[in-house]
Amino acid sequence: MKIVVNWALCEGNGKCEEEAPELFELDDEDELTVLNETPPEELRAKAEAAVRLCPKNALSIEG
Amino acid sequence: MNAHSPGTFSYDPYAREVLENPLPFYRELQANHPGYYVEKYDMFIFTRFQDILDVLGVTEDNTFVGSESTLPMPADILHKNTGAPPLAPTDPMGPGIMLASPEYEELRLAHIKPLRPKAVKAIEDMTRELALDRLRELLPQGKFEIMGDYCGLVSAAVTCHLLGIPKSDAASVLGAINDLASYSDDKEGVDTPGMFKFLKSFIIPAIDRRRKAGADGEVPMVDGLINHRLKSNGRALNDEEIADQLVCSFVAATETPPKPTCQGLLELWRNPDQLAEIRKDLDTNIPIVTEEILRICITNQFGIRTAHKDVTVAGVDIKAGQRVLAGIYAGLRDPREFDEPEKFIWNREIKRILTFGYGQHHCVGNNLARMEVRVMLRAFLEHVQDFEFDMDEAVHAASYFHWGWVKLPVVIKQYSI
Ligand code: SF4
Repeated sequence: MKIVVNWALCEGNGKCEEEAPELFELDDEDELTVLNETPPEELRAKAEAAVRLCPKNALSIEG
Repeated sequence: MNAHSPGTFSYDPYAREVLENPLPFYRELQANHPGYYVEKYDMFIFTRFQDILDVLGVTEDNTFVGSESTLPMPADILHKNTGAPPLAPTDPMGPGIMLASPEYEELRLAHIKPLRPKAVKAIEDMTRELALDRLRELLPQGKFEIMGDYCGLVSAAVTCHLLGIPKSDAASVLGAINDLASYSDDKEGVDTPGMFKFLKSFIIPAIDRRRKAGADGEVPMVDGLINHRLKSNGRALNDEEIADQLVCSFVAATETPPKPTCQGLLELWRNPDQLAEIRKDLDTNIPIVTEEILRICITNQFGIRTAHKDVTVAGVDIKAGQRVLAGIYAGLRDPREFDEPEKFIWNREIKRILTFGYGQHHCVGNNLARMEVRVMLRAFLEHVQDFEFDMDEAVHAASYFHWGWVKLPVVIKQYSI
C-alpha cells in the first residue's frame, strides 16, 4: 500500500492528521508531511479513513 | 404552501415562500424528491447528506465549475445553457470563486497560508483579546445587539488583520458587508456581483499598501498574491485581479462566524440544562459544543455549480450546461445522517460535517471560523453568568443566502469582567 498526495490539491488543512496522526503531520509551516508513505497493512483502515475525509480529494492509496 | 401535498409539490429556491421559511420544503425534498429538477433554472436540487457529498466530490476534469457564480441571482440563471457555458477568463484573471482548475487551486494556494491550522492558532490570543475588549465595553451596558456589536466587530477586526486593513476600519467593513449581503427586494436577490465591486474599494488600498511595503510576507494573504507568478505564463497579477481573489474570503470571514456563534448562544439559552452541563468544564466542552453549533446553527443555505461535462451522480444524469444546487443547510438536517436532526444536542456524535462544503470549494476559512466561534463563545460564557435574549426585538432575515437571525438583542443579568 502506498499513500499518494496530489500536491496541487492539498491545502494543508490538517484533516488527515486529525484522522490518522500515525501517517500524516503538518510541519511548523503547516505543510503536509506523510510520515510513512508505505504503511503496514494494519494501518489500511486509518489510511482509507483519511482519504475519505480529506475534503479536497487530495489523497489516494495505490495497492 | 404546497410543500405538504404530494403530487403538487413544487420548489423554487428563490420563491418568496421559500425565502421566508425553507424548512418544510427541505423536509419534503429530502424525504421524497432526491435530485429534484427545477425547470425554470434547469437545475437539480440535492438535499440529502450523502448526495451532496457525492456531487461536491466530483472534482475531476472541471466537471462542475462555479462559472456562473456559486450564488447567482435568480435572474442570472433563467436561461438554459446549450452545452457548457464559457469558463471564466484567465487574462485578465476572473474572480477566484468562478475560476476552473488549475487556476482555481493555484490561486487559492497562493494566499491561504494564514488560514492553516498552526497559523490560525497563532492568532487565537489576539482574537480572544478582541473579544474581551468588546465585552468590557458591552457588558456594563446591560443590553446590546450581540450579532453586530460583539461577534460582528470581533470577526471584522480579525479579517482586517488578515488583509492588512487598519482594525479601525472594522466597523465600516462590517456595516458595508451586512448591508450588501442582505436580500434586496428591489433586486430580487442578493447582489453578490455588486457587493464584490463595492468591497474592492477596501481591498485595493490594502494591496497598494502592501506593494509599497515591499510585500515581504508580513500579510501573507495579500503578499502571497502580489508575489505569485502564474504557472501558465509567468505573469504577475494586477491589483484588480488580486482583489478578485480575496473578496470572497473577505466577506465570508467577516459575516459568517458571528451567525453560528450567536445562534448557538440562543440555543444554549433555550436549553438551560445543556448550558449548565457545558458550564461545568468550559475547557473540555466548548470545542465539543462548537461542532454541534457548526452543524445546526449556520445560516448559509446552498451553493450552486454549473456542469461543464455530462455526468451521472447521486442517481441523476446531468448534462453539460445544467446546474446543480448543493443544499448544505438541508443536508445538515438529514435524518439519514443524524438522529433527531432538528434537535440541538450539544455533545451528539458528528462523524462527518458539511458545514464547510466539500471538494473543490471546501471553505478555505474552516480552521479560522472554528477558532473564532470557539473563542467568542468561550469569552462570552466565561464572563456572563446569566443572560437572556429579547426575542421581541430580534430580527430574522428572509433570504436564500443567510437564512436566520440577523439581530439578536441580549440582556445581561449577571457578569464579571
Ligand atoms: S486532509 Fe487533504 S487537504 Fe488537508 S492536509 Fe490532508 S491531504 Fe492536505
